[in-house]
Amino acid sequence: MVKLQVETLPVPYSTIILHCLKYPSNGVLGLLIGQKKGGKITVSSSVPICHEATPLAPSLEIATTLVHSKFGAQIVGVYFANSSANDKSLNPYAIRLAERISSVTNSSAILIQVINDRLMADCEEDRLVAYEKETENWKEAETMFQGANILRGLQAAIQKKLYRDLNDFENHLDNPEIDFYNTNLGKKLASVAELRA
Amino acid sequence: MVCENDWTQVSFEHGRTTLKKWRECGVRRSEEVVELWEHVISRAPTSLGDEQWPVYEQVCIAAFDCTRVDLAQDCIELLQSQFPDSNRVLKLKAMQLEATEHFERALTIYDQLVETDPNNNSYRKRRVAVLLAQGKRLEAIKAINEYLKIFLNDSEAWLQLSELYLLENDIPKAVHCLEECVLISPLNSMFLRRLGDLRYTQGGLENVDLARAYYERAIKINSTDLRSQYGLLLANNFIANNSRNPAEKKKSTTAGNAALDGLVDRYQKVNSTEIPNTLEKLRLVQQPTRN
Amino acid sequence: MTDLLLDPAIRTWVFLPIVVITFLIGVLRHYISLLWMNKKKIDLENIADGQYLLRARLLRENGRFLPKSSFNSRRQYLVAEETGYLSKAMNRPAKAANPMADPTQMTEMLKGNMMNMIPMIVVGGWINWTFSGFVTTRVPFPLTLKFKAMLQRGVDLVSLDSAWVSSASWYFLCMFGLRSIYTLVLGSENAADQSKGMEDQMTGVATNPQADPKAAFKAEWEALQVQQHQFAL
Repeated sequence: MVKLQVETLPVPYSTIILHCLKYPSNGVLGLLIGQKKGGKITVSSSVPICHEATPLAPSLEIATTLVHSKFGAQIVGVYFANSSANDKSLNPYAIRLAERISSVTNSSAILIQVINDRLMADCEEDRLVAYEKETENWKEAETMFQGANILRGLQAAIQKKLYRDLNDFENHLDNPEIDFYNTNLGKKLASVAELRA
Repeated sequence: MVCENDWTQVSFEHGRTTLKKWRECGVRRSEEVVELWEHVISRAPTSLGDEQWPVYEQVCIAAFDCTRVDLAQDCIELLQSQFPDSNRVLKLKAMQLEATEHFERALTIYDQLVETDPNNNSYRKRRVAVLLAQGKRLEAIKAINEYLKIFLNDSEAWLQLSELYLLENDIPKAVHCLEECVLISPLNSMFLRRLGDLRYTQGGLENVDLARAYYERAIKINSTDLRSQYGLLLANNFIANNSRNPAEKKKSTTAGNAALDGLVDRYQKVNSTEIPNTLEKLRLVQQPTRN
Repeated sequence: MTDLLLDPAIRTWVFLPIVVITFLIGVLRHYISLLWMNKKKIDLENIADGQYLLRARLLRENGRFLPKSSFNSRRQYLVAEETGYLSKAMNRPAKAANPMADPTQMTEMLKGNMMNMIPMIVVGGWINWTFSGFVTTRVPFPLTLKFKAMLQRGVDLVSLDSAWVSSASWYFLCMFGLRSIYTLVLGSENAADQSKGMEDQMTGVATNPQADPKAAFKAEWEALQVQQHQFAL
């Protein structure tokens, strides 16, 4: 069987990494927005949701409802990072959320895991690993790595401490003025890191 | 809340009070602490007088958090020369071992500390943290339970335990732990809301009904809590959709819509239109009741 | 009646020295007591006892925020026959009820008393002896005759207005009035203040949690047994 190809564009890629960096001591969770064309999924945007290890149903439900009404079936999956650096297991909460999304959008959702110990600055490997669901099990999909270019842009963003400008849905719940779609951050990323939006 | 993002340019006095504020309310803003220290405070640490020692401790812990082992080492050395026999410094050393992943050695130090000072529960808490860092979740649960047999009015520990049970997917036990938190401080809207969240997650009409009660209480205590407002909306909608009792159905539909109005109101105050429009989808239509 | 005029030398050599001496002695007391007192050691069982008592009270007061089943299981945990913590604690054999049986406690008390009494007697006597017989200052408002005994110790003049304060009385006023200044200088947990020490001694017996744990447990046990659960939400 042909593996599903997953490509993450620079801006969502950076957003995901910045989300992890903003909460170094917690696991994070968020939604992926993108398109599915044949055997390839292009993630064009990401919405950070929360930074707890055990997100509970109500806030996830609300977040999914809001994001779904904005993007419709464009929600393609879930990204997450575990709180412990060496933990490479799949987070049950992320899996559950992905399954929920599949049922909402009527198509299979993907999971993207941030590999924590690759978050080091000098690491040349890809920090994201995608998974797809095959019958009952989650299998690794083919992640299309963007190469050193994106990493260099990311470095610039980290140096500028852009992760402090990032907000997730939980921040939004604490203060309704906060925009958890991070439209401003996307613009900043584009200018600072010279990333294509 | 004023959001300051750049701590490199603030004045010395401002930096000092900020550090003090963070130290006292125990927030974890390690990176900012290190930044404040390196750019502002470290210019003249001695001018802090006796305040410099707690600052060193704070910076040291923050440095562990940011894997700045060099900075932490400096702080420990300074503190060590000032307080050669202090248990607090010993604890920092154990934390240093933790940061460099020498977990077993850190554990022996903590065991020793617990023995010399059995009343200080921060050492026992660190032990649990070591177990968690090692990924031994079940052992950590055991250790917290052991701890709670003595200090059973420590809501922080109960909260942590509830989180661990959640990771183990044991919602009833997590609920039990949070109920303890509510017992200890029934006026804390965070605990009430979280208990509501848990009950809602647990599912089933009875539990959601409880969740609704907790959300209502949380809102009564803290009327600006957006999460509780959302929770109330969800719980009411759930009951309206699933209840068999028509009177109950009607009541919760009205209550759910009232909660929704509250939310929309809240968003209008901050001039947001997009989310309220979305929320309208959650509005329930009052079904005609059959008599 | 003509107004009394005090010699300015009294201000310099009596009034101010008394203030300074009392203050310095307080500071000295603070540091000496820091050296003497070793930290109180409470064993774990006592902590647990206190925690369980507190817990029982919390359950009674805040149990109404829990659903009935949760409340009952917690109550069972505390008061169940044989296994409940409170029931067990109630039937525990009484240990060391009187302080005489525990010599460490005795020395601790003795130290506290000595810290309080000896300096007070010595310094009080010395001040009385050195500065006796001076009229040092006057309170800025008229007082009735009854105050003469309090404010004019050591100066027995019938015709003297009762607003005047003698040196010995001034010493006592300073001693009890410097509390807030000590908190300012030494921090709130200081041992300089004598009046506080005396209060502790007077109330200490009543607040001591170890006084009779069995009775406290029994009271809580009974209160929990009769508690009716009512869900408040």
